Formats: sequence, C-alpha cells, structure tokens
Amino acid sequence: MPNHSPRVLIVSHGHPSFSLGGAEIAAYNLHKGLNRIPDVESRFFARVGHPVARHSGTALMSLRQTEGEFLYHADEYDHFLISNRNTEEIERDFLRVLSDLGPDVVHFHHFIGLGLEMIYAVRRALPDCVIIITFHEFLSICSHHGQMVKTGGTKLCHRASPSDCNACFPEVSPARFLRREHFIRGLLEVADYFVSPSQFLVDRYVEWGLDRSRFVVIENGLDIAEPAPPRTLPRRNERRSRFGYFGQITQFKGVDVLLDAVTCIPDTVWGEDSQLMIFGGNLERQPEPFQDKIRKLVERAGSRVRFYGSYQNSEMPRLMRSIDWTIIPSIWWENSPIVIQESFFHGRPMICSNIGGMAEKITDGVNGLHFRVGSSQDLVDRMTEALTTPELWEILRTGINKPITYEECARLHLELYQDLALKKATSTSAVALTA
Amino acid sequence: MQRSNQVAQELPSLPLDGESVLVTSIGEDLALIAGVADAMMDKVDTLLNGDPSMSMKAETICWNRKNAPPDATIGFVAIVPIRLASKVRLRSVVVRRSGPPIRYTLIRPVVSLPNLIQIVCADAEEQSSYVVDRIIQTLINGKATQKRTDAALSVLTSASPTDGWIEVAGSIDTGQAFLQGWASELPSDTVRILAEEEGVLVGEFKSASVPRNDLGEQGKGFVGLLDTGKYAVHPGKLKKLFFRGRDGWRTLNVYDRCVVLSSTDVPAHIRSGLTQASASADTMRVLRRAGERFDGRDTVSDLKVPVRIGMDMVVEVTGGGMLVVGWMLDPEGHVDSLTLCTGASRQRIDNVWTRLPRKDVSTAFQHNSLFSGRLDPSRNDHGFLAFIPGPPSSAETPVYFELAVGETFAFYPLTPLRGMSRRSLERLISPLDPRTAAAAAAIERHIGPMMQAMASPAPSVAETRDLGFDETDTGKVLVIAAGVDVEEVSVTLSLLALDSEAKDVQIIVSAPVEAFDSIAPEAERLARFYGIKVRVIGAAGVQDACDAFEAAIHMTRAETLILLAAGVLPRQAGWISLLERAYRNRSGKALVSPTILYEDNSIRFAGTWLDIEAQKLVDRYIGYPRDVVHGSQSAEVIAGSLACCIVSREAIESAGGFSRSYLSTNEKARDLCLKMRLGGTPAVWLPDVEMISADNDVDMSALPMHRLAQKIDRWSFDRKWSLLINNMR
Repeated sequence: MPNHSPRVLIVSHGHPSFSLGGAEIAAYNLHKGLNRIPDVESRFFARVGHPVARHSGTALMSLRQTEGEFLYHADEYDHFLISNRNTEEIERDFLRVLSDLGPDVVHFHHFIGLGLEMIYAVRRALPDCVIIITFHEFLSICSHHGQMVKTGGTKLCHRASPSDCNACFPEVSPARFLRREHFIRGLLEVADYFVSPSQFLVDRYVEWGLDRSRFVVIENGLDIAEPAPPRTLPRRNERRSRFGYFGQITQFKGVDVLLDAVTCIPDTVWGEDSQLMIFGGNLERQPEPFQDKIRKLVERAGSRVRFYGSYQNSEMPRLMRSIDWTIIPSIWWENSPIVIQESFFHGRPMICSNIGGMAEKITDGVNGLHFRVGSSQDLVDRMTEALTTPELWEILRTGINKPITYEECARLHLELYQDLALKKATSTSAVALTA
Repeated sequence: MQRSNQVAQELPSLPLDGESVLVTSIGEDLALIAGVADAMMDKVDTLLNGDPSMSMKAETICWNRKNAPPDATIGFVAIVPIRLASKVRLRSVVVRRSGPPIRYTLIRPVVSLPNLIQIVCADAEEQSSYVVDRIIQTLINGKATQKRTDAALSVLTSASPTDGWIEVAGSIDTGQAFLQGWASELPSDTVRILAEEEGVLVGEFKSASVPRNDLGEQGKGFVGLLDTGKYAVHPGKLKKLFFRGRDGWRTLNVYDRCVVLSSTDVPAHIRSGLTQASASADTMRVLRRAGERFDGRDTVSDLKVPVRIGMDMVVEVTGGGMLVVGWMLDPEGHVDSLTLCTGASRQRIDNVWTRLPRKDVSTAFQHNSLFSGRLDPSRNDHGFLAFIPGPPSSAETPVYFELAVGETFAFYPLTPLRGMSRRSLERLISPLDPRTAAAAAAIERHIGPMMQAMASPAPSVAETRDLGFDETDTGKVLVIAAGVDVEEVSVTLSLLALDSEAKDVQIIVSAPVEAFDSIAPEAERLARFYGIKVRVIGAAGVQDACDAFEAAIHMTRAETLILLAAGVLPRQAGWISLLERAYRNRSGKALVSPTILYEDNSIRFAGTWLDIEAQKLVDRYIGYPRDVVHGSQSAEVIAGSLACCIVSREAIESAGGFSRSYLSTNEKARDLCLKMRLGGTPAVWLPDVEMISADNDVDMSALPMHRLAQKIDRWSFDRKWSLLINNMR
C-alpha cells in the first residue's frame, strides 16, 4: 500500500438509494466502513439504468447523492455474457474516473449490469491497482439468475457444465455456454482476489475453475445500532411461538413449503398463541401458477398466517421485536443472506433449509434448526420441536455469535487490501530484479 | 428445262470442241471443269498442265447428249483436285481414260460456280437432277471444308428454283424439327432433303399437306417433321431446304419473318395443324406422336393408368449434372422407362437410380380411387434419387421427365434449382436416412459423384478493414475463421486479448461476406478496447472454416499462420508459444496441432492416425476422457486439425489449398494434410497444449445429416486416398 492514505473505489451494480438489495447494502456498508477508518478514503461507484434518464454526453451522473459517490448509467448490456457492449463509454467515462481518482484498490461488489469489461478497463488503466471482486451468488456460473436451480422446476443444480446448462436452456447450444464460461472466467481472472461471504460459494467457484488461493471469506458487516430485545411474553410460561419470514415471495424462497408446513401442524401443537408472520412482497410479480398455489395455501392456513407486506431495511429492528424465530426455507442454495446476520444480531434463532450458505451460517442445534430442503413435513417436525421444547429457544439463542459490524468488516477488508498490495509490490520488484 | 434458253442467251454455252473446257475453282485445291468427250469414265487420272508429276484422281459426272456428234456424245463435269506450286497457273488438264488421253485447254476467264452449274444443267436437260446430285454428293463426300460445303450449297442453289416457303419452325425434344409452310412440288409423306444451316445436313422430311385458301393454285400448305439424325437442325439457323421434285431440285426458303417456336410450343402447333392434314397413315402417326411430345405440361397426372410422380428436389449442381430426388408410384409396372430430358440431352434414369423408402407416398395414395387395392402394403420403395452427370444447361432449356407408358409417352416438367451452395445442398439431401442400405448405394452411385462434380467457386475477398493491423515486420499472423455468429468471434477475440502472448499477434478475422457488416464493427470495438491489431475480411463463397482460412491465406504475406476456428478456445495462456516452439523445432516444416477437447473435457482431437490393421485413418481417442493422453509425447500423425494449428503459408499454397468437394471440414483437413505430407510437410500432434471447442450444432435432428455427410465425405476421401493409405505402414 502506498505511503499516502489508501484510496479505495467500491464499484457496485446498484446504489441502495435506488435498489435495496443485499449486495448493494453490503457494498455501501463497506464504503461507509472504510471511510470511518482514519487515513482511508473510499469512493462509491454504482450503476443505474432504465428507467433512470441519462445525460446525453456522459454515462456518469450524480442524482444528488453524497459527495464522493458516482453513478454510471449502463444499459447496453448482454445478460448472457455479463458483458457491456458500450466499451466506448467505459473508455471515455469510467477510465476518466479511474485516472482522476487514482485508486489503489478497486473493489467490485458485483458487476451485473456494468459488465465484466469494467474489470479489464481497471487493469488496463491502472496496472498496479489491486482489483478485488466480491461474489454474491452464482451468476458467473449459472445463467439461470445465478441460482443454480434447474429451469422448469425446483431441482437443485450441483455443478454447471455446457451440457448441463444446455439441458436447462435447450435453445442455447453447449458451444455458447462454453464460450460464456471461458469469457466470464477469463475476465474474472484479470482480478487479483475474490471475496465471498460464504465458504460454500468459494467451493462452487473453485470447482468451476477459479484458483482457491485467490479466495477469502469475509462476512458482510451490519449497520444496525441496537439489537431488538426478546419479544415480551404477555404471560409467564407463554411459549416462544412467533415465527417470522423476511424476504421476497418468490419460487426459490420456499414460502410455499413454509405455508404447507404451517397448515400441517396439529392444532394441539399450534395452539392459540402460535403465529407465522410474513414480511415481504412481490408475490404479484411471480408466475400465475405460483401465485395460485400460494393463495390456496394461505386459505388453508387461515388465521395461522399473517401477511405484513414488504418492508424497509430500517424497519427490521422493530419487526424483530414481534417474533421469536426466523425461518429461511429457501429451496435454492443462498449465499449469505443478510436476514441470517440480522436475525442473529437481534438474537433470534433460525430454522433453515439444510443446504448451501444457510447450512453453513446456521449450525443445527447450536443457533438454529435445519430441515431437509423442500420438505414441509420435516419443517413441521422442526417447528413442532420449537413449539414443544420449552428451553430450546434459550439454548439456541445462547449459541448465537454476534455477526460483525460494517466497521469490523471494513477493517478486515483493509487488511486484505494491504496484504495484497504488499504481495503485489513484492512480486513486481521480484520481476524487476529478474528482468 | 424451262430456263435453258434464257440461260443460253446470257451465259457461254458448254464448249463442244472436245479440246476445251469451262472451269471454276472451289477454294485453293479443287476445280470443276465441264466439257464434252466421246467417252468418259466415273473416275479418271488427270495430269495438271500435262505434267506427269502432277497426276490427280478426278471424279467425273457424265450425261448423254442427245443428237450430238460422236466425239461429243458425252457431257461431263470433272471434279479435279489441284496441287500446284504457288504462282503456277493451271492452263490445261490431260484426262487419261480407257481410250487415248485428251488434253483440254481451260477457257479463260473462269466462270462462276452457279454459272457453270446452270450451263451444265442446260446441256444435261432432264439428266440435270442426276448431274447436280452427283456433283453435290462428290463435294460433300470429299474432304469436308467450308469451301466445299459452300460450293455444294451454291450448286444446289443454282440448280434449285424456289418451290415454297417455310413460315413456322421449331424443335421438339426428340431433336426433330417441325416445319410449316407451303410448297408447290413438295412430295407428300417422306422425302429426302438437304438442309442448309451453318453447313449441310442430310435428312428426311415427313410432311402432311394442309389446305391453304390463300394460295390459290400456287401450291399447298404443309406441316412436317424434319429428321436430320444425329446432328439436329436448329430451326433458328435454318436457311434453306432442298428436295428433289418431279423434274429436279427445288428449294424451300425460310421466310424472313418465319416464326421460330419454343420447343414446348411445338406440340400444340402440330396438334392444331393435324386437324385438317392429310397424308399416309404412317406419316400421320409420326406427326401425331410428335404432337404428343413435351409441351411444358404435366401429363403424368392425366394418365388413366395408376402411375403418378412427384419431385422433392431437382438441382443442377454447379459444375454440371442434375440431382433428382422424388418418388414414382407405379404399382402395376406400367412405366417402361423414365428418362430425364434436358433439352435434346436424354438420360434414362430408371436403370441407374437408387430407390428409397417412401411410406408417406403409399399412405397418401391408399385411398385414391386409381390406386386403391393396387398398392402392396409391404412395398414402399417409391422414392428415388439419381445424379446424372452432364454439362451445365441454360436456364431456358426445358427439363422434364419422359415416362414411356406402353405406346405413349407422358411428361413431367421439372424446375431445377441452379447455383445452390454446398450448405443448401446439405440441407436438401438431409432427409436421406444414413442408416438405410439405400443410403450407401445412393452415396456411391449418386451423391458421391455429385460432390466430386461440384465445382464450388473458391472464396474471394470482397471486403477488408484494417484495425491497427500491420504485418510489415511480422512473420506470423493468427487467422480466425469466423462464421456468421458475431458472439462467437467476439468472445474469441476477447479471450485472445486477455492472453498477453496472443495480444501482440496480428490477427486476421476471416468471415463470410454476409457477416462482414455485423462482425467488422464488433471487431473494431474490441480492437480499440483491448488494443489488439485486427484485419477483418469478408469473403464471398465462405461456407465453413476451411473456406475462411483459404480466403485469408491470400490476404497475408506472413510466412507462418496460426489457424484458429472461432469456436475453438484456449484452455491456458501461452498456447501460441508452445505451438510455435514445436513448429520451429521442425524448422517450420510441419503442421502442428494441439489436443482439442469437447466442452465436457472429452477428447475431440488428438491426432489422426493410421489404424494399420484396418488400413484406415482414425481420430484416436475421440470421445475419451482427456486424461487418456496425459503423459503422451508429441508425435507425427497422419493429419492434424485445421481448427487449431500452426503451419507455413507456403506449405498450404504449394499443396493447392483446400479441396472443396467435401461437406465437412474434417475430411477437408485430412485431405489437405495428406497433400502437404506428400509435399514434405507432415502433421504433428502436440498433446500438452489443450484447446476446447463444443459442437455448434447440437440439434438432434441434425445428427442424421452429420452422419450422412460423414459417409459422403468418407466415400469421396477413400476414392482419392485409399491407395495411398493402403500402402502406408
């Protein structure tokens, strides 16, 4: 790392002011966290696109954001290759920003919408700059929204290959998938290092062809002031019987599995006090058959379920106060969903599907319970266990480790940056010596 | 003769002194002399200018002269070959015959041939036809020269007054000419004729007379068929027709506004002409048959017997020859022959075709009233395929099938596609199931020869764009063979740009011209963004990677070429230097190819080797897991892969480049490698370098076509190379 204050440019596929996804929040929290460290200077560079109107003469914009934040309008984007065809604007506008800021580190918190060419542009403009990429899902590996779930159903995909991907997308030849794989991996390899919030995701990328020695796992940091206290029980001996679901209602999130389980729990177990509270929306954007399925399940579940609609991240502490357990029934792998950290931050044990990032982050019997992915009957058993084992909630709550804050996360990243800069300087001088 | 007195007043008469003769010359080497003698033979020896060293055999045509003195009882015309030294003038001819020789002085000035004929005819009177016949016969039978032909025609014209006019003419597909007009003395039915077009044709004219109110007593109409045998007359070029009338030769001239019918219009004309015609039964039968010839209509569908035909494809391949694919349903065997007619060219196909199963045809006709109950459910071989070699035909030439059904003919018009690309042809023959026995026969008899006959034009560069490309100081270029897929070439260029070694190589992207407009801007964008140096060329006639390479080879001066098909991707950086090192180690006298893997890491190419037991070439390990070649050493192989290799430009050029008579690039590559091997440039396989490439076309429906193409190519390849391969050890 140079003698001056390290300059970092965080590049994100979205700005949390416009798109409140987990990856955007993680990127922005890192930016904030770095700037809180003395002598570190971070800038935030995020993509915007349709329907935001752009300026005619430049892809850069500000949209009245905080000083030091850049927005970059990119729409000429090839989803299949994760490629930005407007390399002219990358050269004209992005390279200008790079040259003016002269960052020591450029950290990509996703590149969807921006295009992998941005990585190459950094390397071309700043050959000594440390380039880091944080992965948030499997988009580079899987063309099916990066979910690694087979198309036409909910079957999990364990390994991508041109032939397997062609089976999911028969209209796309294995030759195209082969090209996709090589193109994406070729441009990713231009970066120096990869960060993943979960080991599970690291393993998948390594199996796909990236070098394990260039990976590190760093959890995303949270920016929450105070944990929510445990729900106040109206009466003594009352059960910890409120279950919460946080997230969008999509096919991959397993809400149907959860609803089915809730309807199957016997009345004697469910009692009068139990409740499933669903915080999330977007059901209306899902395919009609899925919407029908959910509606029927809700009807069957009756008063056992309450819908609260979508929520803002800032509302989370208040919502947490009304629940005891958080359930994450996703039927896809997940990486490191922020709801896990949030639940743990607020001391809520979790019940989750036994796969992927969920199984990695939540330890069965220690800070939560696992059920077999997609199995509502197994979930019935776990919820029954939660409702009928009086001390379980306390035991699991005790097993929760507090997740890292965004400041701690930023410090971990700074250490990584410094470590990589040092390695790079050493290898450069070694090359210079042998040249 | 009527005209003799008239002629006598204007022309000199035949010299009757027995010592002088009229003379006319025909070209440089023939003279006609006419005079009288007391006796003459058909063939005589002559001495030119009385010189015994210039003895010539002459043919004579004689006639008896009525009431003539004894020494002038025979009139004659002698056709005398002349072989004189230059500048020597022929003054006299000595004729040796059975009696004492006669010395004839040639009368000057010479007379013209028509005049000589008129003088002779006037003297020969009623024997004039015979005399003219013999003169013509002698002229035509002798050494054929234009002068002699012209002379024969001149003789005919001089001796044959106009008898009538030909007003309508046209050919029918049999090669006979239909003529319609009027004449005075034209004999009914059959008459021998001489036809003048560019030369003289001998033939027979069969005609029927038709009433013509417009002629009064001058003559009568005729419709007829002129048959000149092997050399068919061209109605548009016909000038005159000569025939023997009752008392001599007569001419039918061609009216200067004579209507020349297209061959498909002739049968209808004949049919209409015959409604009022009269002639012998035989002539009428012949004319009626002619009226039933092909007139552009499908008459098979009108047959009352259960025979139907349909076509899937009729293609005239570039370079000549016709491929016909279709079906003929003839459950009772009424069709005696099926003949493909292309203008006057005829080729029977039912004795050479390959029959193919067509159950769909049986199904379609099973409820047809003409066929129901007549179809054998176990027989579905109604399909057929045949390739008929032949010269290219013009687009105007009618092409059709002639079906001989008993005493009659039925016709089925065909519309050949011309100038089809190899790729289109591939698509069209794809319904042929490669697993059937018929396929093998079809390949051997028809498709294989067709592919050999196909002369696809060499690709030619139509567009070029240089994007920082400069090969001045470079000995090597990397040639990417692009298809029409822009993404494919973009990704390849991007990956090359990411490889520091490849980034500095000059790159030629060679694409079909139809893809140039989409590929060139993309290449320009990538060249600018990644800083690579690219020349994009768009070439016409590019149908596969080999064509693209061929086009590019002519657009570079670099000695060393790295050929890369756009779909082939590197698996590791540094592949170029590894290939180049192996190439340099062999002093550039090798084509070096890497291992190429499929997308699932199985082997796609690990050298083409000779299977000694089977005496055939095999792509070793194809489909095996990639680890099977780990630890292998680089080795000389029979053929390398053109999809990725390093090779000298000169080696490819001196081998004559790629053959274009294969469907797949595999056989083209093998073919080129074998040619280069014979030229001293062997192929080398470098196992350590791995590239990867998936099949572009994985549509299962395309698989039979791939198999078929493989079979066809194998046939073509084996015909060309099996001898060499059999002698390899």
